[in-house]
Amino acid sequence: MLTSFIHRFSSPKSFVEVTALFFPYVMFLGFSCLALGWIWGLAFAPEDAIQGNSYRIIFLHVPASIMAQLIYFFMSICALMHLVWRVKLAAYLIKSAAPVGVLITFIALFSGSIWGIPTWGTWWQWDARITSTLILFIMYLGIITLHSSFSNAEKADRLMSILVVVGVVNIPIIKKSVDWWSTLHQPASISISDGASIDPSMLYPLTISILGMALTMIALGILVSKLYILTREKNKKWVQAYA
Amino acid sequence: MLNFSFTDFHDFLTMDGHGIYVWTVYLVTFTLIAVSFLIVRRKLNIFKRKLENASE
Repeated sequence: MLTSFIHRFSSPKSFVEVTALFFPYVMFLGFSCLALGWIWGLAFAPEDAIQGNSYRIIFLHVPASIMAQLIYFFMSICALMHLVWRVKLAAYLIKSAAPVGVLITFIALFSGSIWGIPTWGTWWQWDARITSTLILFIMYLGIITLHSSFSNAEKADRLMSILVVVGVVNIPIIKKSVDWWSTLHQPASISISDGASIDPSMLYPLTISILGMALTMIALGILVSKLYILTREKNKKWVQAYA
Repeated sequence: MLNFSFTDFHDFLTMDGHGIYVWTVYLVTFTLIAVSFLIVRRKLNIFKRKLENASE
């Protein structure tokens, strides 16, 4: 019964139709939050006592890094759904989320490198968190490459899902890397159990930026998945009627 | 809480020498995200046009 329930609500057609309804609101809200969070963070948040103004990169680097991991987490849930219940849409969503993951992980690595120059005196260091994030970046690229190296799309879907599930072991490593290895990255400043150790004047714009980045990536994901689903199912009747 | 943290606009741009790092990161990220949206939008439009042409 669960299986039939899942399959009924996971048709690619209804996914495209329903997300198209939400898309403008998600995009507008995402851009607005990002603009608000960034302007607040860049112009109005106080200067950091130790790092000076270079810390303002946090309002971009932290949201990007969180999304880099969350997108992978989302993909691994999709991968399980595809492997256990053979949900076709789940595989489509993995394939669509991967390029978004590449984009945001690149932004996380890039912003971190630039931030490192004035703060740590180096743009790259084989610090545990940087290394595990680089592995995440390579995983995203690997998932895309693996899928496109098969001519049989269904087989590609299954193998891609297996790779995603195997690679999920990297996510807790990234999360815990700052506690397990004491290298350059500082431990987390915001935790669910202990609350935040940063001042509200910096926490508010950071929270808004995280929300904005999440919604912006969801909006981009909706667009990419629409393109992928339409292309993949282009011979089906509903796509022909969609135009 | 919402006080402008800099003395003037020039100070805001230079950020005590950190401006070059901060602004580079924000500009590159903004461009990458904007371009991504535009590319996907464009590809969707091309796809739709092809479908319309095929159905005529």
